Amino acid sequence: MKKVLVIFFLLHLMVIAALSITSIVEAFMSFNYKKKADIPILTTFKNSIYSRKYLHNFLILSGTNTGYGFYGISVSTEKFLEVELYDSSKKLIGTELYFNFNTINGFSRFKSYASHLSNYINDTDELLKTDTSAKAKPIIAFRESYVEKVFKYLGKSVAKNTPHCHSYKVKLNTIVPINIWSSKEKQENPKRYVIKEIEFNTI
Amino acid sequence: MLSKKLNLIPSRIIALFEGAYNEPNFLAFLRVTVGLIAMVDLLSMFPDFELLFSPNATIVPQEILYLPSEYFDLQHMFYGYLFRNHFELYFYSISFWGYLVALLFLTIGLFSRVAAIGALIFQLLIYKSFPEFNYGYDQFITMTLFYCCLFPVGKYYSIDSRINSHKEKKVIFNYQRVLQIHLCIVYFSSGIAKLLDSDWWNGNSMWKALCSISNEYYKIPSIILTLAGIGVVFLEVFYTALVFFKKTRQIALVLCILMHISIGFFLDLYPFAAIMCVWNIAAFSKFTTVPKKLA
Repeated sequence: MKKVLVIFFLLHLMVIAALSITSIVEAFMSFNYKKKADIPILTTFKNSIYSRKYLHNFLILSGTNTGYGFYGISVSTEKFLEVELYDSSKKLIGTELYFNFNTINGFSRFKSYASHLSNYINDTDELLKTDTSAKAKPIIAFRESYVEKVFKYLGKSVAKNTPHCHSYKVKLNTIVPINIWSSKEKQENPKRYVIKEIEFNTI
Repeated sequence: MLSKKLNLIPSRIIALFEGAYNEPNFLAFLRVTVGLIAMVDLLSMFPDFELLFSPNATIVPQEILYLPSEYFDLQHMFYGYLFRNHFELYFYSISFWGYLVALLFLTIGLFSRVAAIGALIFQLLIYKSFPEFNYGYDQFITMTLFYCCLFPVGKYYSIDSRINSHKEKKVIFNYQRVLQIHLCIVYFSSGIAKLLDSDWWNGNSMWKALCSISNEYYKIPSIILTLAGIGVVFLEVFYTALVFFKKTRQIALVLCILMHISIGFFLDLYPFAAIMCVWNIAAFSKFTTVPKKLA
């Protein structure tokens, strides 16, 4: 029994180590050289795990299928979603950042969602730039329509509770990174930049 | 000579998972704290729960929430089954309470293993229904519950131990070692990732992590951000070495706990801070490492 436990936990820990090394190298190559990493043995090992459903499902069950936010190379600035509400004369009648979330826990999770959306949009843009094949077109179209649908639902969840709202604009914003050693930049309030915005009518 | 050394490897590996530690404190601490943290997290999200997990009141339809994730195949199959058999509403109404009851049973140590398995299944079904709203905490809770399914966490200070008082209480395997090695891999990898990013050496990464439209942390002096960034890199890279030596173990542990409390406080990630502190205390504190007779 003891030997079985040793073998099982050793394999489990080896998989965690292998996946973490692969994640770091992949993130490093992607961030610095904009290309996919191909590490001897480890990449093959990782692909073989993910291509086998039962192994992939085991990773999900054990919680070791992702890098749990620990292995990213670069820290990104805060991303946040915002909805602007307009009346029939296109006059701004309100803005909303919290999207009906009432708790710190809920809103923290909502901020993670904004980051996920930002990465998703960024990956779609990368795909658009790097892959011009006919195969990529439906994938890109799907990804763009996915983001549009999500924006629509997010805005709708706020607009439906706002009287006289005829249209709304959903924005995904980010804080513009600065160099903190530039004294002028450091003293100013952080600047915002709109990653994507889409306008919808309530009717 | 070489074959003799090679023959020693398996026995050395087995020896790695032996050794004295305070298994009653370790196993009970892990069980009780993970149960409590998961319950507090679940209850603290209660007013917003419907926005993330409900048949028709989610902020974005449930299937869209898990559509682009790696959980799509599993969730699509599961929700398809519920939908075909008209179990959907039933599932949504019982999952929250089912998860809560499983966590409560785990905390008090009643049917501990079954409760841990139930909690893990409910946690995956609920939280992976909105995976894009997940963060590090959710993965760590999954991992901890997974370990609670495998470790004999109900063996000490539990209702199970009262019921089964006649049974043998000796634990033959050093389960704490699994958590220790896991934690060392996580910190070392995370430290190396930060080491490779020049922004961790000049404070820019700290600024990016802290700066928000809803706070004024951008006013923190650059030198403090830089020192904090370098401190985090050093702590994570050398974590394994620091906890390996007895003299530096408790200092490393305190620094790590302070780091996680700061993350919780500055980034509002309280559950994440709590679960990371629990892992550190369970793995390396005097409370769980030193057996009473040797203390």
